[in-house]
Amino acid sequence: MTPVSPISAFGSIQPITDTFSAGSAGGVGGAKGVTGGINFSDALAKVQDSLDSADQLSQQLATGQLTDVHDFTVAANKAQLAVQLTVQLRNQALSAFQEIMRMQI
Amino acid sequence: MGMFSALDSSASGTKVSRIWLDAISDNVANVNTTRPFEEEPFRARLVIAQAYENGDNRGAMVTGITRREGEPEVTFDPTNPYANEAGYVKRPMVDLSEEMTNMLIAQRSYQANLSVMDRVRDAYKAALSIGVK
Repeated sequence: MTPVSPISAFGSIQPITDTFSAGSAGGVGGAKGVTGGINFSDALAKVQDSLDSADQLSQQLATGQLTDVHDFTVAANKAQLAVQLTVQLRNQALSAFQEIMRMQI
Repeated sequence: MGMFSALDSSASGTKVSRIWLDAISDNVANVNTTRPFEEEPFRARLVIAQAYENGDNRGAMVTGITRREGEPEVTFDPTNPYANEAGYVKRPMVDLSEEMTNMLIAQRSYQANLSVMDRVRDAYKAALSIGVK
């Protein structure tokens, strides 16, 4: 058994929090649109990153390179939660948009 | 704090428990192994865990593994190929009852960390379903 190296941080998945920060709500004529400045393409890229790292860990698990099984399940859970959060944001933004479209003028 | 810092902390605790269980399995496996009398006998591995704080990342980590100190027990066993001229053999420095107790603690600690992860995940999922019809 080799001496154990210190636990490395899960670096790649952290920055999702910043991604979803909605900008200041665009007033009348603001360029933000209905989504209030949520940058969905950036958010999706970050979600893709977390999915990729879960993928990579699942491959390591299958090939027997992974010493900690929970590393994979944690990464898979993070990816799942990130996807669900993105889907929820999209749903809420879409329903806000539809609400406005239904407005009688 | 990152979004999944609770998950990360639990994962680090799980890793510590896993390393502890690895060490215990090695100790138990060597509970009966002997070496030539002049050499050092097998000494149980003791895992040193430490709280850890690095920026936003918190949790526990293993800082090292030491070996059990002390004078090994010597038994009279002339049939053992590793016995010295007088027929004595050095026993490994492993206390099986202690290892079994530690095993229970390590196993429960592993489970506790996984349990925290489960609850954290449930909480996140509940937060995601706010306002969903």
